[in-house]
Amino acid sequence: MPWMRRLLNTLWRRTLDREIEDELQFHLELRATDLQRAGMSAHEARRQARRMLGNELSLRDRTREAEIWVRLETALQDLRYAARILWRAPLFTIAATLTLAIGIGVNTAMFAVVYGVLIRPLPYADADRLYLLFQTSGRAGRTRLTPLDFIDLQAQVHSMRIAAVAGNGFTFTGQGDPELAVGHLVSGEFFNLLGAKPALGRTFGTADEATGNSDLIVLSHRFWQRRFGGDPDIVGRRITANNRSLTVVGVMKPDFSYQGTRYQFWVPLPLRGPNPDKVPINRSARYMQVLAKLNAGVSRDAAAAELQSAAASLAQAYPDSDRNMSFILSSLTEETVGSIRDALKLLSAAVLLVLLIACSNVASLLLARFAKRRTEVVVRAALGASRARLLRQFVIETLVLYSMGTVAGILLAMSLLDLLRTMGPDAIPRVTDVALAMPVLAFTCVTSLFAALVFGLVPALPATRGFSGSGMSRTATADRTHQRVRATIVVAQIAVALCLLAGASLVARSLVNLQHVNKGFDPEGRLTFNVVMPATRFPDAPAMHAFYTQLVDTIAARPEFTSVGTTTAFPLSGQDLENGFAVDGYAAAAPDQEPVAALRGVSPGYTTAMGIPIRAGRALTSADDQRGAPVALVNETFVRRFFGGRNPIGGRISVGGPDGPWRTVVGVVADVRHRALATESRPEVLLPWVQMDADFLTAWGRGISFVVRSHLELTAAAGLLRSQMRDLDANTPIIDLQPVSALVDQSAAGPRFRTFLLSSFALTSVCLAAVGIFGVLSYVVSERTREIGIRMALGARQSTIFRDVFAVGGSLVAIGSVLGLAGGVALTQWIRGLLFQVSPSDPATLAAATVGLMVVAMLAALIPARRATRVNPVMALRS
Amino acid sequence: MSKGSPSLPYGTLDLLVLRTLAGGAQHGYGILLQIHEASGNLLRIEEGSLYPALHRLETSGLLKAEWMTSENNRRAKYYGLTARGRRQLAEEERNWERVAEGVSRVLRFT
Repeated sequence: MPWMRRLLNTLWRRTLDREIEDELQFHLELRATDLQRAGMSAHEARRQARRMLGNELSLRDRTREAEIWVRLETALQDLRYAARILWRAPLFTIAATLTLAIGIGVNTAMFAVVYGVLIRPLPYADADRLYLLFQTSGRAGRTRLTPLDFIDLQAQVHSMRIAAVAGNGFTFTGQGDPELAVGHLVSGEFFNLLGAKPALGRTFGTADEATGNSDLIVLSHRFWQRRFGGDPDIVGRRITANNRSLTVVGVMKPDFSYQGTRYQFWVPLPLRGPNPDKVPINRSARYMQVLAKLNAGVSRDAAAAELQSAAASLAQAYPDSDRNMSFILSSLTEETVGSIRDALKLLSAAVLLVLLIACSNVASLLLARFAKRRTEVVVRAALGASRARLLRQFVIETLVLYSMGTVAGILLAMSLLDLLRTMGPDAIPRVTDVALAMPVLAFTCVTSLFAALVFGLVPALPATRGFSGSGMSRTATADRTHQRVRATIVVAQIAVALCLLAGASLVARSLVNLQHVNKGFDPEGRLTFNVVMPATRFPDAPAMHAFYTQLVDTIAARPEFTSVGTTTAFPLSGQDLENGFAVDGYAAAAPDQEPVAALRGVSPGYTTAMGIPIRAGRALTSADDQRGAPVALVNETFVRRFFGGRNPIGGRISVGGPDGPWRTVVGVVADVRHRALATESRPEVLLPWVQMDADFLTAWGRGISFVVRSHLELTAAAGLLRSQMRDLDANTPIIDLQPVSALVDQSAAGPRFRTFLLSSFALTSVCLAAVGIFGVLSYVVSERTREIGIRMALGARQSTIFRDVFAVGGSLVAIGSVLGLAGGVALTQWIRGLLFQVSPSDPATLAAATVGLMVVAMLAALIPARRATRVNPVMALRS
Repeated sequence: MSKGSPSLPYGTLDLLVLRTLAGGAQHGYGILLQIHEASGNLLRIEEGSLYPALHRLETSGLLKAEWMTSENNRRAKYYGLTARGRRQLAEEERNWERVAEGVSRVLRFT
């Protein structure tokens, strides 16, 4: 392979040099011998032989060149030279490398996130054909499906296969402490659709569904490791959960998870067989998440069309529950990562700007350095170096710097990713998929190389221009070009930094707004925890009621706790359930205006304990029990939407349909931000838990969220609660015990996370821009030392000198700020979707960002300006 | 440069070297002499072009080189034809004949 040989010869030139030397020596000897034979003296023969060889040096070079890569060799020469030059200026080299490392590091980390979260397909077979299926009745928004609708739909559709999934908590007993863990109840097709293979044993499927055996469980790898110590003989063992005996049929692989690692096991959903957990199988409870996999070759439109006709036939068959119903397909990928896409795009744009500033800083530094090497350039040009050769030399120096910056940047990215993973789980979906994979590193290298070439040429072009004819003397024109380029760079940096700072300020402002949004409840001084009452221990509603009333009373009896309440769906916890209603006196003007509202069962003390204001009427009392008249509370949105201008108090509503039973609205509560802090409230109905339908309670009333208000310090209050619960019932774990404020914080994790990142990026860019100004002005001062010295000798005041230098910086900052402000106003329109209660062109925020940047920039200009005033005229004139 | 030798047309050197080596492996000096003799002392190859050409042909795989002991008991680098070199020789010979014939026809005609 010739290229291989050339490469080796280029890298190990000594062997080749020696061979050529030997070969030529041999030639000379033979020639000399022949000449001697022809009659020459030995001495003369040798001389003649050499003469006939011609220019030996050039011959050797040309011979060698036949065997090497000339380009590579000159590149290696340049490289050695560049390394020497950089080695001799360690301060500059370190500063430039660090600057680049920051720019490249944040880009690498950010791209690792983008790649892991957005680009890489979900870790399931044919992930592009996986969808989630929702049902909708227009304005009510999309909801999950009811079990019976799911069963009917499964029989009707042929363009896709579907599986039902419902999250559920199981209390595991029998080995170690009782533990409540969350898992999924899934129908037969589930594992098949995801193409998921177990690590041990098997999964369960449609065959098991057919036999009606639902006492099976598949464990996640982590759960198996944690609770069962990684027991290799676990398959076939029977374990106890919810007082049921379940057979472990398999363990999934470590990397398998569905909707997050908090779901730790999978149990068959008893759609047809016996139903020990009393999972509701009806046509009113919309709790089935439906996973759909389109058959190969079926388009989304074709699938949607089939779903529409299925919806129509269901609506015809079950007009009470399914009229106006239609189905929506939403890609699983979109459902998983869609929420973060905009934020990641914004952050990617931000890091790109940071890189831009970092690179231009280095370009600016290089420009100054190259300018100082003018003499070297002229000498080399005089000795015959072409401009291309000189350019290449400078670009290679830049490349060496960038290579070092890239290596340092990748190291930085590694620690940034570690940080990200610890902050991440609440803020980014799929954060466990984020890693420095090969494509990420390739992206980094390509980006750096591209940046090195572009930003290497910026300083190299002026450095190698205009030397012909001017000899060794420095030309004023060339210096002016340098200054202009550097000034442009600084202006651009200021502008870009201001754009970033403006964006970050707006996002930060949104976060503050979000944290101060009227949540509809008061999180301070309150604890929340969950209790689950498994069907196997509490078979019916009275048993559950007795247990939980006992809990409430025990807590209420302690003077440390001022109030206590319970609900079936705690705000910001992710629990929610929507139901259809009938409202007396309200007729839907259009099918999409049917009354649908979130339904919660609460205890009488709930609104007080939670701090939810009563806007009209009264709160629930203990008289609102089984014997009392059926009552309900509704929220303000419900009143606005379904009561029009009428007085809601005394109005009647009915859960389910017009056939009653009718309930009287006795109070209106404030709107609570239930789903997310930034999400407007939806219509809500609060019923007394004890008055709810027994079937509903055995299905939905089993998980109860408590809220306890205490004047104790919260950790002390939590300890007290724990010990009380243990005394009361050692077999019922209390879970998710935390301050309500923690839940609020968690709900703002995403916005806080991107605010944190964006602000760090913006601050980094501001610092880099400040360094840029500092560098340029320092250079100006050092270039004009003589001039300043003369002026001072002629009597110029220090303040005049200071003002002159400072003005240079000031004008750059001013121009940059104006451009940046204009750019910022244009760019921030794009992030409208990420803002909360602040306009993208909010004058106060933009003004604050501008002033902040200008202050920092002016501080950076101060130091060189002061240095200018300290120029010693005598020294300056002598030098 | 010897004044008596005509200059070689571009590319002819490769042909001459390949042709010479078709008779067996040879070192650089030997090739030089053989071409000189075979051309009836008409053609004289310069060292300055021969050695770069040899190394170029070797790198591109037409020649293979081996260090062997020469007749005067010195280590010398001997060049020989590879299979590819042989094919290349055949092709260049055909080319040359056609070019030579064409050129001489033109010369005679005008």
